[in-house]
Amino acid sequence: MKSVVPIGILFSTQGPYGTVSRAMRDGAMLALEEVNADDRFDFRLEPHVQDPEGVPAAYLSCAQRLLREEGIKHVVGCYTSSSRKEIIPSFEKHDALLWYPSHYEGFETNDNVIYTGAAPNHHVLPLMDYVLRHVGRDIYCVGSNYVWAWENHRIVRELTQVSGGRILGERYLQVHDCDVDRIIDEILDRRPSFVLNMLIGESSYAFYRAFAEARRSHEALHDTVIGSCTLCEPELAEIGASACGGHLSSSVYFSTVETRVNQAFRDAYRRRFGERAVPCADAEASYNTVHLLARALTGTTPSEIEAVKRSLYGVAFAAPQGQVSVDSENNHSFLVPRLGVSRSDGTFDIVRESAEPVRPDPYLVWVDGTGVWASWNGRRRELTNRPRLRVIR
Amino acid sequence: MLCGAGRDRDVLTQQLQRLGIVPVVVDAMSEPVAQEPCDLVFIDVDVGRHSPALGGGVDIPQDRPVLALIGSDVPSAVEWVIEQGACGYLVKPIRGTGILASLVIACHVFEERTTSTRTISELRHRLKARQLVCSAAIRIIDVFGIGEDEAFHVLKIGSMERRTTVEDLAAMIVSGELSVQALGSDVEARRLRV
Repeated sequence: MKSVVPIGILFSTQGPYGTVSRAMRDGAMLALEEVNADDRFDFRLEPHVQDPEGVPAAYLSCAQRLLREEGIKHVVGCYTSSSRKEIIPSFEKHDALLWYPSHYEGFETNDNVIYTGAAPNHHVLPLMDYVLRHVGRDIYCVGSNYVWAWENHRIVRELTQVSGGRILGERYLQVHDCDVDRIIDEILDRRPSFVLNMLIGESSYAFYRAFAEARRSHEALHDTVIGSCTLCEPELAEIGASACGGHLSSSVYFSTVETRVNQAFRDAYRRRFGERAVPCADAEASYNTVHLLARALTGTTPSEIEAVKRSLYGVAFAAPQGQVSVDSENNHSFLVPRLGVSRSDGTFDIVRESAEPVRPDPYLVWVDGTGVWASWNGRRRELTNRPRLRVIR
Repeated sequence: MLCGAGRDRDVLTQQLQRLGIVPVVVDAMSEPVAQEPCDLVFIDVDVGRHSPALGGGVDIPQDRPVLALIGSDVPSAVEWVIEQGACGYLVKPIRGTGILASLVIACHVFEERTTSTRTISELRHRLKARQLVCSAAIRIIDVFGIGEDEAFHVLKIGSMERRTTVEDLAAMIVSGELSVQALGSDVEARRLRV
């Protein structure tokens, strides 16, 4: 008989970033069910689901319920950095592990956190390396008013200045704010070649829709490219077919990755969540996280987190994106950077792809920010024909 | 204290009260920090950094020690703290331990910085006036036929008697506001001592 290992699942299914967070929970649940159906594991993962519903303060009470009242040692959860930071002290106090599957801005390594999402050298660096070489050097930055956008914009300012480019504007909206007209007007006025969109959730969807509307009536915006480090498949559906196509996205996973493992993942995801369900980077990250966790638990005592971590450092998981493993030096993951261009059908064309998993660099100390794609020597599909980036009507 | 409601503010408030300090919480959205009468300012970086365009900007006082409450090591946050002239910081989540040490060090850094700034400003002024002092000394040498060391000494005595600085006295001489002859008695006094 299999033993039972309780696992906390901590994602918001509502709130301003509920779309992505739901996908994360779905990815985690799919992996959990796969592990439980797999005879190679002599334990069963028992999900204990908590939903903070996008309320920042609720993350702490949910985490405390899992750690203190239910005695759980492993929790998969969180999307925003603010929620992660809110609950980390509880994990330290209860000697538990937070398995954090989201991409984030980096500059953190906590012994009680396993970071399975993309680090800045996986997302913003490859995006800007491509943009500054192939799109343009007049950059406009817009983002949600918190650390994710603040820090990424700082990185972009530095990279742009080094390359001789200009930052034409830097604007912020509160996470809930969808009043994007002022920003669209400013973009129309300043005419950047590239708009870096670090808005998250509903604000971001409103921005893409308003931009598409403005582009329909202003010829000057036809060559302006929008790029993001978060845009993913379920968000394209939220934005709508008339506005979601032609945008750059930097991600370690797209549903259109052409591997056998990804084909199986896509099929399983559809079987589980409906024919129209399309997995995204955040769902894949959560899926990988639970599989990594299950492999790390094999042969260890779940409550001994140092032993689980030592076991984890020896695990390599054949993920939908490619081989994923965790760097013992910083608890972040080796991942495969890619660039995609969104299509109006809600998926992405992959135009750049690293040849192999890239070592995480959460403090950006190993990369000078120039020529990452050249050194990664991966798949290249030329994207110089600008019409590919236009809105597909 | 510019700090949103929550655990960090509670811990900080409690610990400051234990230390005999009266905490005053400021709402970033309504009143500038500078208008609050206080001796020390705590600013939560995540509150203070909010863009002024959104109504969350703060007017950081320069005349009191500022301690930042830092929640993230990201360079943009650290840059912001440095730009505000913070004299110290506490790492969030705030714990009672270390608050007193940070507070004392911040006050010390602030005092030292204020003194250094004042000294540097005075030295800059004197450096700027150096040419005037030399010009005044040369005139004294020419008029009274005394040596260089004596001329500077006369300037020193003259400024003391007139309760002004050497630089200001030199400026008065060079501008013609005070004639060199007016320093005759100082020269005589110097000669008698020699």
